Amino acid sequence: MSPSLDPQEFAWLCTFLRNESAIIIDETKEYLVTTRLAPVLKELGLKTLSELLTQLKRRPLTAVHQRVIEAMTTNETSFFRDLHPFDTLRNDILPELVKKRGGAGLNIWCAASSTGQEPYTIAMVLREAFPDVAARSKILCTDINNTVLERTKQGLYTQLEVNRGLPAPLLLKYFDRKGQEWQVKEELRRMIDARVMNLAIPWSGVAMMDIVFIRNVLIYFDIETKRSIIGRIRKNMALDGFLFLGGAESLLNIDSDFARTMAGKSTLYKRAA
Amino acid sequence: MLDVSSEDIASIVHAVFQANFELWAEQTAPPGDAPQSISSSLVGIAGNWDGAVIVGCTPAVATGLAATMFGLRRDEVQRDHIEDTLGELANMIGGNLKALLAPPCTLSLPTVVEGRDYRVRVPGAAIVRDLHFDIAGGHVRVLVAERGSVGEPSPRKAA
Amino acid sequence: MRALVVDDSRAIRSVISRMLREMGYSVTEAGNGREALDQLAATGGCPDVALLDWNMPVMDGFTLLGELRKDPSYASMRIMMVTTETEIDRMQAALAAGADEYLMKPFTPDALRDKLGILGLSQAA
Repeated sequence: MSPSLDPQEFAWLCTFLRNESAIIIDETKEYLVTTRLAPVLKELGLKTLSELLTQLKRRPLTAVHQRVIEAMTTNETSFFRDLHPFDTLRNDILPELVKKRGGAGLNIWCAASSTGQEPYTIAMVLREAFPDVAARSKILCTDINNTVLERTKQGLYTQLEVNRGLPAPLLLKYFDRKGQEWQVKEELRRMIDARVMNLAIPWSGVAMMDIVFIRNVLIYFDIETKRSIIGRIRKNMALDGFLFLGGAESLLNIDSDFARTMAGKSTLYKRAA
Repeated sequence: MLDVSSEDIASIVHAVFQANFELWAEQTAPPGDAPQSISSSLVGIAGNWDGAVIVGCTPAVATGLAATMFGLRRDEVQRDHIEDTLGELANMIGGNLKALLAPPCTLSLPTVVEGRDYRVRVPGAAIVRDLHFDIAGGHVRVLVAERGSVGEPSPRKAA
Repeated sequence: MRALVVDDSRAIRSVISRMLREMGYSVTEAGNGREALDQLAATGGCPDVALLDWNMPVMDGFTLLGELRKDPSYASMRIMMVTTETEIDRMQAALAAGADEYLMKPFTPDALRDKLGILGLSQAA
């Protein structure tokens, strides 16, 4: 493993990441820098993080900068991560919204969707419960990292990835074996709409959302950026829509125009009346 | 003919070491001088394709891998721990290779083999893939041996 | 909660059993299907979950799966295949024969915990 950075270099890297991607890394997350950037060093044939920093300090921005941002922003993910949110989606949220919308397609947004396990989990849950509605629904996947979105569009997963959290009957029903990898079937892939997006910057052209998943994403941002992102998401949601956060997250002190609600074993948010 | 590339096999080996040991398997050129001693295990594949997968590694790596699998300190690792660990590695690599072959094929139970002249152990077979890896500072070799042609009588099962 | 781990590899039994014990399970191990059936008959009762390898000497895991599903005294047992047999037709056959889950080798500790979670067995309280 490459020797760690001195405090000055580490501070420079934190500022770089903050400016370019609005991600907050502090000294408690130094391990994150070392583990995430080790493969980047290898790819570039560099020995130490200091050598990498020398390249990052050059302007204009290059593929190296892009690669570092991607490595630092790729979220660890798995199918049916935490289980409960998807039980709640299946048992409470989908039946309510499908009824209210009279069977029309739903607009669902996975913010910072990484390699796509969460949107495909939602697609499978929707398809299993309401196949007709699923065929008319769209799942918007956004991420700052175009590489993970390309993978999401292809729907290709390694065996180690499909081992993680995906019930075997759903693997058999919705995936085809492609050599060593497994590919999501076309019927689910066509529900996906993937777009590169930096949540910290105002967006446009996003449909009014019925359901938004933004799980374990806000931790990367400072309080002002959190407020700004959540505020803009709220304005992009139907009045009776639902917002899912990560299990340990809340909107306390971030947005008082969302009301907390419980469904099944999950805490989620609705726009305050 | 074996319709599975060296890249496919390398990718299986990567997954096996990553999942079981959180170790990075760095593919390398064959080492200049052959390792002094090596422990190996073998699984046979029979059916539409006929051959074997042999996994060998230097003693220090083998001891480390067995220690991880059995939750032991290195100095507690015995010969049978190493044999069992190598057998399971051959089973995982062979099983995942089998999944890439045209069916039907069956996998034999793993056997531990001794020595470096694998042809002695896999009669009538030629080495068709030979991959080397640097794992945790030690050497791991994965060989795929293929028997002549389908339908030719096998002198003996691999296990 | 009780778990039964059946695999001819002591290394894999060791990995799985350690993980299950950390989760609070009491674990028994067997090296093949026949040994597992004999142990079950001798100890009585029904483990909450059984994790079965496929390829084993004496009696393989698929045969054991069939034997367990034939016997009403094991009706409540959840069964997960944990195997290097990763072909689709094998998975289909195992699920059709009554397996509840299927974990492909190699697997990470997280993957095993996830699968137990799917079966509602993640906490062995």
